[in-house]
Amino acid sequence: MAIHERLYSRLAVPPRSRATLPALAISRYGTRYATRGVFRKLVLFASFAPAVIMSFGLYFIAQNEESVLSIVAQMGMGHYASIAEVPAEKAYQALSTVLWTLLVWQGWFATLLTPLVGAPQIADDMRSHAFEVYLARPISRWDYFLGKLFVIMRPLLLIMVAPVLIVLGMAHGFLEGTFSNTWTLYPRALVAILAWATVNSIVILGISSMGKSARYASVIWFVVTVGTFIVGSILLEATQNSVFDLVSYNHCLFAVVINVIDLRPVIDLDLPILDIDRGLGPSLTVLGGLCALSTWLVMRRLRAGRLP
Amino acid sequence: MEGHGQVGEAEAARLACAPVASMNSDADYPNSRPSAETVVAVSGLTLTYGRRQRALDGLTMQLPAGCNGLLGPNGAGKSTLIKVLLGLLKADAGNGRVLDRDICKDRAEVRRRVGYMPERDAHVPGMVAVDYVSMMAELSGMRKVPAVKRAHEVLHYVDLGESRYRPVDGFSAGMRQRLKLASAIVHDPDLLLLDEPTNGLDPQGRRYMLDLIQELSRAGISIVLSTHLLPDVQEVCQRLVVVSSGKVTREGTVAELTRGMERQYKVQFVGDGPSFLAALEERGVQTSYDPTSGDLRVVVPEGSGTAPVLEAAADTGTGLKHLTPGMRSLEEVFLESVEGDAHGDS
Repeated sequence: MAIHERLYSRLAVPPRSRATLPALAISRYGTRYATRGVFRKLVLFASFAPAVIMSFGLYFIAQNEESVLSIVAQMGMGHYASIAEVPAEKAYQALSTVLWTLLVWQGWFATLLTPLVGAPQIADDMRSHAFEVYLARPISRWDYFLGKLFVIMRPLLLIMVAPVLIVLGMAHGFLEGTFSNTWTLYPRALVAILAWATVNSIVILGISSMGKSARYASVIWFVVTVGTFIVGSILLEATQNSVFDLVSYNHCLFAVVINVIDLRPVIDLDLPILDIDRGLGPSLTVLGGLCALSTWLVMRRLRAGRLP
Repeated sequence: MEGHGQVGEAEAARLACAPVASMNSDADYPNSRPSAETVVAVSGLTLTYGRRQRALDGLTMQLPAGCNGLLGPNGAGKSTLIKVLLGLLKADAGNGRVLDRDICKDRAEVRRRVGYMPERDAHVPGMVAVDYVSMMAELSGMRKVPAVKRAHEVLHYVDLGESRYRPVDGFSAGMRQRLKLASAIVHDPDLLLLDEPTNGLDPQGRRYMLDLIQELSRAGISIVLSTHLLPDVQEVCQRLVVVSSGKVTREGTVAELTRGMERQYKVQFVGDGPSFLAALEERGVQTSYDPTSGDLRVVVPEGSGTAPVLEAAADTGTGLKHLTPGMRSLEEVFLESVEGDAHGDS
């Protein structure tokens, strides 16, 4: 007697000729597993700390209008009788400075979380030969690429968008009358965050496709981000030539954020290295080049005949 | 539920023979079931790894619907051929069609209608079985909810129902093979490409896998079983192709490949060899004698059975130690094909 006794059932309606959005399926299942693990959860949790601290700060400052106005005066923005009297431009400057400070923090958390989530994405698929099974399905290389990209972008967007919304929301809630002058910070912040998360995700995917080890991919990531940051900072200090901020991956991202949120700091943010007036062009060129190179690396790996 | 139903043997036979229109009433899915007699047809496929290692060497073959064996020693080019059929590897020359679709131009359609079970373990690390199979179903074009339902169904079918919420990393070799099979059949393909499906399985696991393959074949799914294990092919395949050094060296049904050998016998005797051989030839028996080993192979005339051998032995006073049917086994066909090719190459 046969060991197997169950019967196979055929589908009455066969699958469609192509999945509607295979990238979303890959990202949906991938995200469930990408943020598992104690350390990843810890980073996710800790990334909300700056927003919480800043929210409390805003709350306590806002309890006393006089103290707010005193801080405004100390910043050299002028003396006013009430918060409502602060000119729109000054209010924007103050809040964009708060936003910038928060985004720098979140950027470093993103730098830490990106390899945790992204480094295994393609490297592990190559190591476990899952690559072969994905590509044996009716999906294109771009579907696979986008699916993996969304897997990384989701947690990055979470740790950047949510804190920004919390802090801006708190600021507008506590400091009455400021919303009408500063509401554009919401879309600007979202654009900056989207750019940041996209670039991080594409670059880590490119690095992940270089080999079968997620660990080596993480090391390369930190060389690209922290390593170039240190080298760029040293060169800037030594030469006082702002062109060297283009050496640093993070400085390029900072420059994009500064330009997108139109930051004109009201206090000294220790930004001598960032040439704010240079505009987006050079930084975008560097980051665009990195993204193009990373995409090429992934596509090269996915091309028929280059299976690991 | 999308009208899933259990398929018995009679129903499976009907499904296998049913024309396209009766199988599928949904006008959105024309030609969704195979109508072609030939499921795989390739011509002059050539593929070289690097500069020297020629994996496929002008391979030409046709596989009809049903269960086909792709037999060959390790490194013969079987897995490479399967990857070329799926478009995972690009052939340097030649062309091919799978389920009447061009393997280069209609890659997505070929992949939609084909289920692939790779030789190596291929799972997403950390993922639980049901998520893995559901994801594969969705990537094959199924919608989210039916994909999840179908994943549960096929996991039960391959007897992984109890383990479907366990991470795949902890699965045994047999469970991993069955999981690969589940993900290959989750979208109900018309053709299954199975690359060494019984690799690393214990006898019970192997038996189970072969039963599953036979049943899938009965349900109307054409199968290409790539293996170097002869008993597997002999057990489940109606037809086989022997591949060696990237070329087809033999092809046909198992019966065809062993045909004509039912009249062959192996004889061991004691006595006067030359006179016994002469007596055999007088009776129309073809002989092939190896004096060193003392082995005598004879082919008796059609319908005569062993009578001419026994008569010749009686007439010449020769004692017969052994008289056994010398019907060629599949193993001999295989070895002959592979060795012949090796000699040809040298």
